[in-house]
Amino acid sequence: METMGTKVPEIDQALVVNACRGDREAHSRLYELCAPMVYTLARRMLTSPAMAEDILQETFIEVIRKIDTYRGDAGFGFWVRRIAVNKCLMHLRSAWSSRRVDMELSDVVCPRTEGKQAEKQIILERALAELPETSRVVVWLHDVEGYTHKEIGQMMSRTTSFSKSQLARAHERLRIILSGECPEDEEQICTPVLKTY
Amino acid sequence: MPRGRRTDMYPSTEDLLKIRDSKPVDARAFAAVNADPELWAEIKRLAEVKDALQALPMLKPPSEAWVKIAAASESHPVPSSHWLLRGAIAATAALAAILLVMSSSEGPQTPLPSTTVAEVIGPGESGWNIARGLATPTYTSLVAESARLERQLNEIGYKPRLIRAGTATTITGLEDQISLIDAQLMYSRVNGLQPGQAEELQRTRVDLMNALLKVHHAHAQRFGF
Repeated sequence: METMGTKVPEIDQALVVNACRGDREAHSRLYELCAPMVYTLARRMLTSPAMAEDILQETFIEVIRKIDTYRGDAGFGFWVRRIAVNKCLMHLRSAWSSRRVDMELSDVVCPRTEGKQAEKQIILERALAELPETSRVVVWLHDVEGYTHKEIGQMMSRTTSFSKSQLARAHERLRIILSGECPEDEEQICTPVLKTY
Repeated sequence: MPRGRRTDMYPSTEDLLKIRDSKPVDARAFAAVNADPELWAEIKRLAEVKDALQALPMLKPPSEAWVKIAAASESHPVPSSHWLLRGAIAATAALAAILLVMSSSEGPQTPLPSTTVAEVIGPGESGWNIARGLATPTYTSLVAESARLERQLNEIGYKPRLIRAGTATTITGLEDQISLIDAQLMYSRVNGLQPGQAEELQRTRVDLMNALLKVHHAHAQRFGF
């Protein structure tokens, strides 16, 4: 699968073997290598830092517990990423997740570019966060993580067409937010992004 | 600009995204795009947004996250070839604790150590603790209360897939203590216990169950359940 956006780390097979044997050092090293990918993915999909941290924890606890089920079909990083994506989708499906909207966009980012580029990135991050959950998830999985519409449809228990239409909606919405063409009824949603930056 | 659904002549955003991603697209839509520089500009813009999304920086996970994960993994050990050995060690430790209680059965009765419980329920907060000095509940009523709390625990619908390491440690600690008491009570059926000692164990079990319920309720409330 094409690797984009959140970089999927290459993991040494020997490290995986050691981790399978229960080697704590190996677990820690796997975490070091994969945690930025998992956390970034979760933050982009869910926006909430607290929820992203939960996903990070859930993902690695599952990775450690189920590492002996890893068959080596895809790279280890891809296996970890798939677990993280599924966890994110489960969070979005669960009824209580909608109550947690502690969105923060100003936490530590590494390594952040300077000047106008950084400003553009912040605007885009905020625009992404403004999207409806489903659209945001689809645009991230398709445009950044490189999943196909078919894969996204399967993961979300929906059709391929659903994924395609959500991607289109996401881009239409992003265009409106980024250009400032807010329809009157949506002014409240768009204004904070445009006023702040 | 394209909006929503496709008309006969005008390509939709879906069509433009297909062209952007070099995917097959309706011939009429492609012809329409070819004839309109504005649509090409829109495809270019969509490609730029995609590039910009991919260029967003990686985010640094919270620094203490691994400590929590490691602690949570420790409290529920990873299945490995050593699990039997670990299980044997745990069983030996539990047996040693049981024997320790049994060996002190002749001496004055002291409550089981429950530092975690004290932290959770606070001094003198437990209804049973308050009742202790006034009217000692009978062993049967303690068993009934224990069963009631057990049912209440089972009825908690909200079962988070993950809880914070601190909470997980507290819950595991409480559950371990309850399991230890259950083992002691089971052992008492074989070898017998002083009546007061069995009652004390049941009372401690009720306190522990109360504490466990409070932790679960507090955690559920934190997440707005």
